[in-house]
Amino acid sequence: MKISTNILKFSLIAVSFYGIIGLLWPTFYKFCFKNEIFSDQYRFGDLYKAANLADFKSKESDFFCLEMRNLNTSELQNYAITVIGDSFMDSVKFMNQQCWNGAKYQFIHWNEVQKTNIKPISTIKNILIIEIVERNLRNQSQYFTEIFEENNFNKGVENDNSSTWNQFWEINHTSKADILLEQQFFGYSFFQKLKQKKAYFNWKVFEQVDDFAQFTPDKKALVYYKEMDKNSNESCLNPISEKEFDQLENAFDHIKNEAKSKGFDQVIFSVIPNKSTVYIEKDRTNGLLQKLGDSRRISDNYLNIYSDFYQKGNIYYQLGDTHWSCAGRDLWLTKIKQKILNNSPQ
Amino acid sequence: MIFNSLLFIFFFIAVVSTFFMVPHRWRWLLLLVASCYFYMVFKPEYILILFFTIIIDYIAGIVIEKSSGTARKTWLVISLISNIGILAVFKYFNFFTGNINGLISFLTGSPGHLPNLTQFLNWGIEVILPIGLSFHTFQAMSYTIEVYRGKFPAEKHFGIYALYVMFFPQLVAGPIERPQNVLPQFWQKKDYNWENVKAGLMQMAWGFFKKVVVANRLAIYVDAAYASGQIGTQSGSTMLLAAFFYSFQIYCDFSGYSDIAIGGAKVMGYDLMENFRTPYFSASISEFWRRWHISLSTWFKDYVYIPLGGNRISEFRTYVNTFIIFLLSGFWHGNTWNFVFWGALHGVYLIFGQLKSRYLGNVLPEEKYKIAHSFSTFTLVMFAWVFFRARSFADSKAVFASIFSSKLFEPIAMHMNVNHLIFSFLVIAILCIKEKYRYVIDTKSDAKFYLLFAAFVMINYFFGVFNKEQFIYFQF
Repeated sequence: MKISTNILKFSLIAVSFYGIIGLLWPTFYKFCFKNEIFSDQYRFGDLYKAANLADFKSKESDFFCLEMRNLNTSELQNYAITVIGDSFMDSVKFMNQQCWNGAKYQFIHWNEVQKTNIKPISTIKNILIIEIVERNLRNQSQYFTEIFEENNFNKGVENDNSSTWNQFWEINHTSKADILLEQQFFGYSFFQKLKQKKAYFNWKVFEQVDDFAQFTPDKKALVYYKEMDKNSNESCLNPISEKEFDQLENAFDHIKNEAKSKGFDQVIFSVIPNKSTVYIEKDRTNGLLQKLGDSRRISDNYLNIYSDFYQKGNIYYQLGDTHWSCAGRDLWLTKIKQKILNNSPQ
Repeated sequence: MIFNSLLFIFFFIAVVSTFFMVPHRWRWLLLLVASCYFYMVFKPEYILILFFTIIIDYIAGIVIEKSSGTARKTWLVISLISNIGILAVFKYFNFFTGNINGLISFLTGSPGHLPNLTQFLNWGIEVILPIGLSFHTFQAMSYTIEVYRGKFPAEKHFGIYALYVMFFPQLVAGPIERPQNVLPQFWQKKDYNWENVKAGLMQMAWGFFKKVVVANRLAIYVDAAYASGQIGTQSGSTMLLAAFFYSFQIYCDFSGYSDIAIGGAKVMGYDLMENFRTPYFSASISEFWRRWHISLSTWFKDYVYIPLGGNRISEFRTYVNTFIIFLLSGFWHGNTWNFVFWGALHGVYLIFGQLKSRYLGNVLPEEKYKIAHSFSTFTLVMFAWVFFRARSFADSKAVFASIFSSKLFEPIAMHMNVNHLIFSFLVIAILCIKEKYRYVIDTKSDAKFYLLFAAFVMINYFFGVFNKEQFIYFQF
């Protein structure tokens, strides 16, 4: 009895020590991910990770768009493309140098804008693309005027140097620690099956899904919950006033003028529709994307993909993720290149 | 750190496993370090506030014991002021300044400009209420009062005293312990006891069931009914159901926490006091308060009610004392008028109950009409909880306006589907049956324990709602 008790004690200590190491040592985490000791819980999509519904699981290939692209053409070799964007431009999954047919390419994430001195990258034709997903547009637009502020690339640097003490407690905050621990211990296929059974039961019997995910009205798609919240300005169901729309157009104008003064030859704005927006009847939405597409003020600079994406959510968005599929990414790339070539100044 | 999290589970396994491997003389240090980590996960800087009161009370206890006359009283007052002062500043500063600003605005037509606590302290960070402040300050005060009364010797070991205040199972939401119960246990060598481990784990499993299967599930309906701007649009039947569900949500949330705390301490061999004793089967409000949050109600009784004279004075003064106690209790629970009103309401309930016993004792005697008494007590408590849950007085009024009007007969809102509603009633029924018949989950047989514990783990996982909702009483 004493031997078995000691074995149990040491096993429990080993397990909890393993958990603690994972919590406190980022290098260990990276090593385990790289060597596939930990499974990536997002491999089937962020919505699937939240809801665990087997019927709404992305294909793993949907996250390998870069490997699927045939990039032998070089019609953009005389261009330099700067993209300010979000996770739809993720360099591992969706977008990199190879996607741009010979063009020079740089990507700046919205989170890095304040730390980056944005300027053209070469003496050839410089195109600035401002990409943002619909749900972030209205909140983010108030910062559009700061994109080209002088010396703003010093902002935020001090935040990067938070002390080890603060970083330790940041990681050990319950919600973050739980995410890490779940990844470490319960990310494997066996546990995935268990989660799927529970999620399926809750969905079919109680019509409940995880708080993070919600169904579109026709129940055909899972989307981010805020996209269905009419009280949230991240949703297409939330009304937008004329005044706010004017402010958006003003913000786009401001960026366009500032970018031209910095040396960019062309500026293109692109708002990626929320996944939910393409599933909802147009007359039920706030009409923001239609208005942007119809706006004469920004028509030269605005890439309207809403009409292409509308009612094709099952093709252009992933089943278990808030992001687009490779097909959606391809369509966007095709259209934006057309706009670059068609609008290109002589 | 919240109990219903993976972090707590790993933390608990690590601490308990190490506890039984470390020699007894170092266990206090292990538990103290673990408790510090447990507390600091919320907001690390606030450990300084905790240690500030611990140091003052530790010194006060020793000085009170060694002193006589006014010096003893002075140090007791210093201890009480430091604890009540911290509570007043962090919990009630904004309440007072907000009300004074409102009064100034009402009287003069111009807004008041008294700062809030963040502005007043100007630490460069938003100042929020330290977690568990109301609990550990009361526990600390019970220590210095007991030393002052000569009922307990001062603790000379600083680490053991600090552990008394900070012991992680009951640090942030009680039970509010007494030194006589807990301090001697930290000096006792706690050998590994398989029966304690089984009993403790089973109590924790039951506590998790109450929290994640019952409380979090009922919260789905309650939150939807009480959602901002929605109350006025809901039918009376919806709000009545929400009030009923909330009664069980708050009970399961709080008593579930207590079960996890008591069970967790039990695993290591420590016995904490019982905090709930089937309160919803009480036949009177006074009985309810002998069964609900026992540690708080006995604290108020021993340290406020009895020193005020208790029931050894005139009848009128007794009622006044009763009302004061419940007003303070309401204030302890929260820093809004809703909580004060909730406390006052229970004070009124209790006074009427005492009047009824005194003058109408033979009318519908309790012994004969127990079911009717229990039902009416539950109903009174359920309606009082409306003030606890609603965000404001206006919301509380709106709830009652819905219930006590023709809107009561309007259709019930389906914030849950039928299956979900049935399941919710089912888990409430399971809870009531277990409590009514005082069913104790038998852990003597190892095989039974393994089966039941595994079943609880699976049930809690499969039927639990894990949305990281904090325990309700953490906010106090």
